[in-house]
Amino acid sequence: MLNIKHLSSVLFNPISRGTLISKIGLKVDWDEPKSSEQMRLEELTKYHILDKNRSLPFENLTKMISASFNNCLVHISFFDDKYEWVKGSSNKKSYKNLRENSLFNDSFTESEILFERQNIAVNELNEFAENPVATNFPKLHFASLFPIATKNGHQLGAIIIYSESLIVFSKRDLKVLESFLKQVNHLLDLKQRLRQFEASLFELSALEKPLNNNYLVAKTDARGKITFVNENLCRISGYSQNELIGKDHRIFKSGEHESSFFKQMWEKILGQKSWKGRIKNKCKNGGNFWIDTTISPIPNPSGGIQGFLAVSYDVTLEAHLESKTKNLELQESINNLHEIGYRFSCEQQYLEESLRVMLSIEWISKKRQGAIFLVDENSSGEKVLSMKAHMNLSQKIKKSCRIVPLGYCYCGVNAEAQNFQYVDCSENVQTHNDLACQVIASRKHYSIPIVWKSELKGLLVVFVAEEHEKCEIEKHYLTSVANVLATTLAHNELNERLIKSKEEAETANIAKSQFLANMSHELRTPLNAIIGYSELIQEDIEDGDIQLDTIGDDLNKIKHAGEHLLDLINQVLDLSKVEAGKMNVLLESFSIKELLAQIQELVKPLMEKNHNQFILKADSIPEVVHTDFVKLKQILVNLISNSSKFTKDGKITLKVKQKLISDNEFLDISVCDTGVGIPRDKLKTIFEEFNQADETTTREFGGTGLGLSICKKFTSLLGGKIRVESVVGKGTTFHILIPFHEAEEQKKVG
Amino acid sequence: MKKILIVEDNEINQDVLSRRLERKGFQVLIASDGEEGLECIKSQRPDLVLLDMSLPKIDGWTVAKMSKQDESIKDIPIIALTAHAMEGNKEKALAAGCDEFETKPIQFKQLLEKIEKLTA
Repeated sequence: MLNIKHLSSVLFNPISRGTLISKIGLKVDWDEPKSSEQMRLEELTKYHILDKNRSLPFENLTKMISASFNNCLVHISFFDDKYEWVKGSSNKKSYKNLRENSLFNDSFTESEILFERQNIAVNELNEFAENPVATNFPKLHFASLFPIATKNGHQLGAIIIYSESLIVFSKRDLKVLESFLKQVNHLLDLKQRLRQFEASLFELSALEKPLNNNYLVAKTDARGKITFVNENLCRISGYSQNELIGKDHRIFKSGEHESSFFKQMWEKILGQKSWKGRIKNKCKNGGNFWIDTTISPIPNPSGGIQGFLAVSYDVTLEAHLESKTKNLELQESINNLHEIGYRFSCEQQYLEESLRVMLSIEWISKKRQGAIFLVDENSSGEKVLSMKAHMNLSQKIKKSCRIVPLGYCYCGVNAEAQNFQYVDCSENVQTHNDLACQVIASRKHYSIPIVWKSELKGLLVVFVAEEHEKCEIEKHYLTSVANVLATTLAHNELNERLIKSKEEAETANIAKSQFLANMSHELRTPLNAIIGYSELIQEDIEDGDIQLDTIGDDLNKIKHAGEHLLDLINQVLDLSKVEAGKMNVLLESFSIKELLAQIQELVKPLMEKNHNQFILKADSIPEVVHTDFVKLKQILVNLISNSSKFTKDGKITLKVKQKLISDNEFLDISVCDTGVGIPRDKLKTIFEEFNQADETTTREFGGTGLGLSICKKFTSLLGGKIRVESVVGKGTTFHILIPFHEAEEQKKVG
Repeated sequence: MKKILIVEDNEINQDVLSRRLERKGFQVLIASDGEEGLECIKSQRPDLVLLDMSLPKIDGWTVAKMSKQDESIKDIPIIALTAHAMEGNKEKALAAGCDEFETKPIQFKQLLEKIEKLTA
């Protein structure tokens, strides 16, 4: 910038091309000493003013100067090594002039000159024949030159005022000129800044392409309405700019992320901070693209936020690769879990191993913490979740969450609702154990119900790290894990049931074979007698040796055997009816005394056979009972005849009492003998078919071996119970409890 | 006259069998349990034994085994008689040392043929 100290009018010798008449010039005080011509040129180049384009600001300025000085010709010229560049002319467009033709070829550097030349255009040497000023304005006699210099002292050019006559510049004129010079300098300055700006713009534009190819840029207003998108974002998302501008930024929302994810993002950027993260976005065609993005708030001058700038990088491929790798890992894990199902027969081991495999997916469960619960019943019959396997849990959780009732706590609530849940834990749920819930609630975890055919089997709990970002594939994976567990558990359960029923069937089959073998044996014995005696009689007839009493005896034996056979067949039929569920119970009211009288009569012959004494004790008994008369009678006769078979010269006591058990009335009956007794190890099987205590006892004592079996079945048909106690050598007692409902009229009488 | 021992606990069976055999000209001895039967074989040395398998005290299989192990009586033929007609019972009786096997009810004609053959 030119620094003008004072102005003075000085006369000095004429320079080569004219007569210097005075020098009023502008006394300039340079900050630095003048530098060489080369430095001057360098400086000049920096301003980039020497080009062919016209410069309107300079032209306008010359016109203004011209107007200020009587409409004389005014030039603003710059000098490089070859040309005088007339950047502004008050009557003409800019042009350039070879420096050798210039009127001020040498003298423009001589600052502060003002000279007059007699006949500028024409001199003896015809020096200025090529100069348009000299040729176009032959009458010009006066030129004054006001140098344009930079702050560094380099003189770049001058404002030149031509006139036909001498101009004497007043102080005021010089002041005006001074201000014009300032404007020139200002223009130069502007020009230079413009250049710099253009240069940086150019640099920016050079950046734009790589930026556009690699980055996705979007701007929104403070409310999230899109105000700018770059081409790349349009290309990747499939939208046009028009489709995006003015829309809400949620147009890209893919649904992948939780609301909490966006919540923390907004918190950050509204707090005037940048947020960085990986987001899955939705394309126009419904596809997705992943970006690593930095979202920054754009401040407004008042300190608020005028909008947001998102600069993102497309990482779809990376995300795909990552998810592919993850998918493979998860698939392998699922296969592994399937295999474990076949490998472990123990449920506990199976669950522990499954948990271990599942928690080995590091990016899901960094801390490898989790548990498997199965549905169980507590002592009061309520359904609860019972922790069957756990890993890396604190003692506190292990202890307080060992049993979780359904409907309580996150786990119990989710399990009952069969909800897959990712718990961030801010909800209010009724807890079974406040302490435990606080501990768990403060940690992010998944709880996944284990469900088989809409029946809840259990619950899977996986703790994730605080910074964990949940994703679809892990959700999918955990659901699969729960399915594998459900399937395997159900499969194992079914297997167990199958094995059990197979065993039962096998046992039943053995029992049936045994029953058939016994039946065959039991039937053959009386048949042996029947056929044997029949043949004997036939032989008697053939031999003609007929003795009536012998034949009579033999026929009697045949008859007895036949009767025995009939008994046997009837009993077998009874049993099979009970087993087939076809034995009907006929409830009727009858007098118990009458029943006892009938029994007493019936057992008389049995008592006589083995010389036993029959004792009946029936003191406090109801008059009338309501149960199945025939069956009760058969039970009692069977028991007494059983006792009489195994007792000789002894006593058989029938006791009948009334008994009240929790408001229900029972007949308490016992049949007690003083017979051989039953060994302890045989007591368990005494009520099974053909299971007399000893095979040899059949020989010794007879019987079909079905009597007690029928007793037991009939007793339970009547809603009662039978049990036996016995001491070998002392005797046996059978106890029966049979419910009866006392008839109404009897109650009234009572 | 050939001597036949019936070891049988069932009185009716004893009666039918003994009477029919006597009628065919055999001398019949009767024992009601295994112990008595074994003693009788030794002391009476019958020509043939009809042995029931389900016997009190000592069962038929044991009686057969013991008599076949006893040098003095091992040549006396034994026919097992049993109401256990299921598969495996015949083999069990023969394995115990019995020479023949008959199921109850007894087919007398067939039994007689076996007795004739074994005492011939």
